[in-house]
Amino acid sequence: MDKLSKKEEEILQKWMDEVALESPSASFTDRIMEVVEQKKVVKPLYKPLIGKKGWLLVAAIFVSCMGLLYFFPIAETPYLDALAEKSAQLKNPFEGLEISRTALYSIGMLALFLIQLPFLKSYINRQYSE
Amino acid sequence: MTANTDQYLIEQVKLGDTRAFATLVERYKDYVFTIVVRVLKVREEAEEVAQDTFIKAFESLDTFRGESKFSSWLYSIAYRKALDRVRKNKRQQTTDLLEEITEGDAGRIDNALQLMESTERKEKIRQSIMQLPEIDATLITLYYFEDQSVKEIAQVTNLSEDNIKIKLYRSRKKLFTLLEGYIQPKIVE
Repeated sequence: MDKLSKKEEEILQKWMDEVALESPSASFTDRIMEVVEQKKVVKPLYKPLIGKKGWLLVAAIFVSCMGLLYFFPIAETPYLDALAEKSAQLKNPFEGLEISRTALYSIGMLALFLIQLPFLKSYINRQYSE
Repeated sequence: MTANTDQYLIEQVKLGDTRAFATLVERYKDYVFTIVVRVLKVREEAEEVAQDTFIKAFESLDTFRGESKFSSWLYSIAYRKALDRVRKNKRQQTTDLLEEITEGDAGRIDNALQLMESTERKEKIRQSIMQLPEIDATLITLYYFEDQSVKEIAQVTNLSEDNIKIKLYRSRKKLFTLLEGYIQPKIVE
């Protein structure tokens, strides 16, 4: 048996109707709104990084470059060739460097740790935001 | 007509209209405060927790998806915050009296209450509710709020519907017992 009798139900209902809701003090809402106004964050309107004018400019430069190449074709690229030759002469400063196995491991671990950071950070953020 | 529904107001708040939130606070402050004060039993503290409830609701309004009623969502925040505070205070409520109250007793209590002045009667009933342990007090409060079904109470308290039915039965019996205790001197006279 887990039901109140009809009479008991009626009596309780009557009493509970009689005790109305409790009311907080008069300044309750004002105090909340004060905090709320402070917390209110104005969300920045979405603004594209490259606007309409920017894109037009990019398009204009692209088209003019293509036009130049079309009307004044260059068979050879002397500057680039020269650069390639120069870079071939440069020496790799780390050529003779030898790294021990232990050092390699430690570098690897450090990399792993650094990669973990953003994941951990977002995980903890989520935990606290609940 | 849609201008005043909870959903409309919530949308307005999300769009940045904080005055709409004030309307929601006005609409629900008594309900929220009643739940909290009946769990915490201390008015000053209850007011603080009720305020926190609304501020928390404002902050996480984006997570409210409208799957349940706004009121249920709000009450569940209030209930959890109030319970947290009770745990923090470690104020243990020890009310484990559960004598069987028969229908005759209920009628007798009713008669005795009828004889009292209205204000005195209200005070007795209020005191009895305040004596109830936190969960019982919440269940009874929610149950007698105008439109809270067992399903909605389940959403607020995170208890199963069956569990709520059993607990509701017991807490109402407890309320009878407590009331009887309060008016006992009157009956003896």
